Amino acid sequence: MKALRLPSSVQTALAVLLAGCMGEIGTDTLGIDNPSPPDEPGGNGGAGGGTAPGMPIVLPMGASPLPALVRRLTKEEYTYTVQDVLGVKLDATLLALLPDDRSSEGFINLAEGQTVSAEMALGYGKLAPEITARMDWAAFLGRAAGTCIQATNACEDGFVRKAGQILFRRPVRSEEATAYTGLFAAVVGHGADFNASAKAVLEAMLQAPQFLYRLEVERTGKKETRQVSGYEMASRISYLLWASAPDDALYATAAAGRLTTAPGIAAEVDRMLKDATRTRRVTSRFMRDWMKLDDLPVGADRDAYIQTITMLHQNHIWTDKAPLLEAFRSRKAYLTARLATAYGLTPAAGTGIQMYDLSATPGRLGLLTQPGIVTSMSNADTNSIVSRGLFLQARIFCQNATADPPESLRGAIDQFLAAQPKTASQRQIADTRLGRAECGVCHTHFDPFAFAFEQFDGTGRYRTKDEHGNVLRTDGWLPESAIGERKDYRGVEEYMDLLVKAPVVQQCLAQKNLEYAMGRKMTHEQWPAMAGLYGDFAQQGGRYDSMVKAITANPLFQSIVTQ
Amino acid sequence: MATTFRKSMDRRTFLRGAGTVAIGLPFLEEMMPRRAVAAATSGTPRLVTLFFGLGIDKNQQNEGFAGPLQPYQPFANKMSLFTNVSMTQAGGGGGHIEASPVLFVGEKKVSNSRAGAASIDQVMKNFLHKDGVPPTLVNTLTSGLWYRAPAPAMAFRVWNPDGTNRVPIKRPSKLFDTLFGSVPPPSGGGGPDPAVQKQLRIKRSVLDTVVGQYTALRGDTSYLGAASKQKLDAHFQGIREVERLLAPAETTVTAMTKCTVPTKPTDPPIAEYDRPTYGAGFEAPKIAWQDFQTVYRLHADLWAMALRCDLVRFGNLMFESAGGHTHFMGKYTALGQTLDFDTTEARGSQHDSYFHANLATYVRLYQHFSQTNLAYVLGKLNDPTFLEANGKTVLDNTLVVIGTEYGQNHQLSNVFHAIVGGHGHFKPGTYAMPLNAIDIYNAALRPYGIDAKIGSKTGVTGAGDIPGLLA
Repeated sequence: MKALRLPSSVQTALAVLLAGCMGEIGTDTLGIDNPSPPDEPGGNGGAGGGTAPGMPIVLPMGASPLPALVRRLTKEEYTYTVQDVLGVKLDATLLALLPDDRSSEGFINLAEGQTVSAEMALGYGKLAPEITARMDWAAFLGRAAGTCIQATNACEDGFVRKAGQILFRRPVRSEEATAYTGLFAAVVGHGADFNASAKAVLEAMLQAPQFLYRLEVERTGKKETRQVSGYEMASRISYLLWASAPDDALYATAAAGRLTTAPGIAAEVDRMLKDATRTRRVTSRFMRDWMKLDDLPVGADRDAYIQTITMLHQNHIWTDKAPLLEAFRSRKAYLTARLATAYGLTPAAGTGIQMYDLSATPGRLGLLTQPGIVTSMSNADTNSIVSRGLFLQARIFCQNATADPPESLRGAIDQFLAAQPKTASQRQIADTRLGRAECGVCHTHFDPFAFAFEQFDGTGRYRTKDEHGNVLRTDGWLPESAIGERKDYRGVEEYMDLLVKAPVVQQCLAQKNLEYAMGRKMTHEQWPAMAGLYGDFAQQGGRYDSMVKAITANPLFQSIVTQ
Repeated sequence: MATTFRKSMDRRTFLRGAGTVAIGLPFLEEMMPRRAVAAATSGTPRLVTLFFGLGIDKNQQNEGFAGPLQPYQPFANKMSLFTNVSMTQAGGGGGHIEASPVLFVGEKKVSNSRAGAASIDQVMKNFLHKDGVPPTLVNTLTSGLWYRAPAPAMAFRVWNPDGTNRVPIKRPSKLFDTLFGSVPPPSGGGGPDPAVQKQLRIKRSVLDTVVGQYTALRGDTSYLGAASKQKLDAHFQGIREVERLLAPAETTVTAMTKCTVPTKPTDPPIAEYDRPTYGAGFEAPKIAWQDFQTVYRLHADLWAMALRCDLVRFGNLMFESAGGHTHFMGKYTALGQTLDFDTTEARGSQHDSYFHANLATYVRLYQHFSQTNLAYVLGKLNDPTFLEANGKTVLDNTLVVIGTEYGQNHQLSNVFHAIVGGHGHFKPGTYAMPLNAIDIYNAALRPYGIDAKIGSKTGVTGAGDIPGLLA
């Protein structure tokens, strides 16, 4: 048996409750030694190790596990899954049948924020026959039924089990097989042939909770935190790395029981990271959600902003293979000719988006000074310090957004704003505001995050004076409430240096990635379990791949709470 | 699968291309199904709420039909107006996000994404249809046009008993599909032909299997926990709402073939459909008021046809959201004055420019604009050329409750409400005595045998009966 190699923070955190436990945690034989019971998801008496329930896990002292909650595939995940599993690329017309996912507090894949509307249910129902009509049916039938395509119990059962396995990402449970073979027979009874009946079954599966949701065993009759099963881990990994279903190789690894072992997981993560297309889906979505790019105002530059920012991020991760935090200090920008002009740069030869070196470009440094992100953090066309401060507070420092002022202060706020000189800069107003006790008590916690960006207007254009002729300052400080002790900065460069070095920012980056990986909102109750996460991936270089490896080894990622 | 509709008249394009704002009003007039079956009898309870954002000043409510309420003048003999209504149970400083989920609900919200109870349309629906609405009906309809609502509490007006929301439909074409998308073509014998019947049976079998899977996972033997079951329950309910569209039962089909279906409208080309459900920050997208009105009236026309066909009985139509941040453009003239939206919205939207600034003159005209459009809905329902079996208009046979989230400039008092139609249960007039919104909601439901006890969760007592309201 091979020993499980755990990251430093996890070594002390992960323990095994030996009662009722066979062997060592993470042994290669773990799953095989625990055959799947027939009533487990996927359990059919002979499915192998993938369905075996995981072993109990003890989280680090003080950490609470995340309560179990199913996750719906996001619209993107649904699209990629249909594309990867059934070979059907949904065009814009078909995609319009599904409403877009929405996020009220972060990533669109957070289970807590996911909703299902009647419109969405209707969309799934309409898409199902469209997908079966467009897929290479002969190829799928060959894969799912082979030559057994007669209207017999054996052929129908065989098709149901194989098609279900493909769509449900695990073997079909016995009661599911009963339901779908019942459907098969009913459709045959309506006068349809094997092909039409099989398509009807597939249409039902495409609308089924087992396909549209990532279901895991939450009730075992025992309240505990346990490691997820191999198939469950396969889905966790594949949606984290590819935003899609497991491929055959990952599925086979799960079936063999190797996804409950550290080497098995690490090997699959290494393999899957090499897929240049599918991995980029995930990092693109992360950036769009993290920086709220989808909420950018509709305008001439919206698409260019999103493309150039995601390209910067993608190249930082995949081409430059640079540490994630260094994106805050990147001297590169990927710009259209129009955006390059807006930067004060001479557009490079060639069409489309080109890379520019910003070393000699004043004011610009790193991801956060990209005009699209400045626009995202700003209040429409104004360089609102409040809006920017709150944006950075939530996204860079992982602090809960400060509550809106009470309505009782509304009159005082209106009076305060009305009393400010029309020619005052936003910084001058902010300084006055911080000096007033009833305002400063809150604003001191987030306004200073935004001072470094004062030289950008609401659309991210750089200037040294505002429209009133005020010389714009970029000095400020990171408040004690955010980073433990006040740190002053004199401009964007020092600001970005502080960000990169601040443990709270490092932890926040790790937390954001873990939240996205889990599709769950983390709270202080999970803090002890993720406290070492940044250290784990920083030790391995702080790059995206090391971060993914650290996450997949984290006990929160590996565990589920059962009842 | 595409459905071939029986057309009440030739296909017609409603709106073509950009800038055709003025085209087509009242473009659906001719399309109204003259021969539609009036399935709802006089005794068929229906409840539709109409929402408009941002409230009306107390003084302007007191102007009666000489102020912003002027568009309601034609309905004066069917309308009960409430001009002294509070919703102070909203609490929390009284932001839009606190106030608006109390509207049509009466209870304090649970969170920004959860109301404290069901909205009154759902209260009536669940009371009258404990086993679900008849299969010929859309379960609930909610639609409208709005911008900037940072959370469901501000954006949505229909709430389920557990406080979750239903998402309104923005596009007229989607509204049409929801209402009429599954009405099948008739055959000579009055029902669908055999080929269609076969397909319907297959679709029904597929959907039954899907529903069975959700049912199993929501059940006692499920391997999922309570929170996950609740999520799947929401999906299950969503399927139930659209199963008429996905796989109508044969009995449903036969009934629906009696409804004359209008031509599907083309969506007027405005950007609002695709803006995020929750708008970011304080951006105020610009739109000509006529364009906004065109889309709203398309919704109104479709609602009116659906009610005539008895395809829907419960829901909400909204004109802007609570705290709406649409920046209207163009000149609007009413009450002897002209409001130039272009030049008066220095801060981005009427919400900021008029309401926060407490500019009563602008509020007066803006809300005249809102009420004109709500009155358009009432007019469509009150069409005297289409009478139901009891000789009454659809409006007479529908309980319409109008409301907004505020009184004057973000105050939780003087929150305008009105009851219109209501099967003759309510005496028209103006009711200026102090009331809480729960008084209106309880009074509105009581004639239908519903003792909802709205307000009991939050502990609001209200004024009790409204003297003189019940006929």
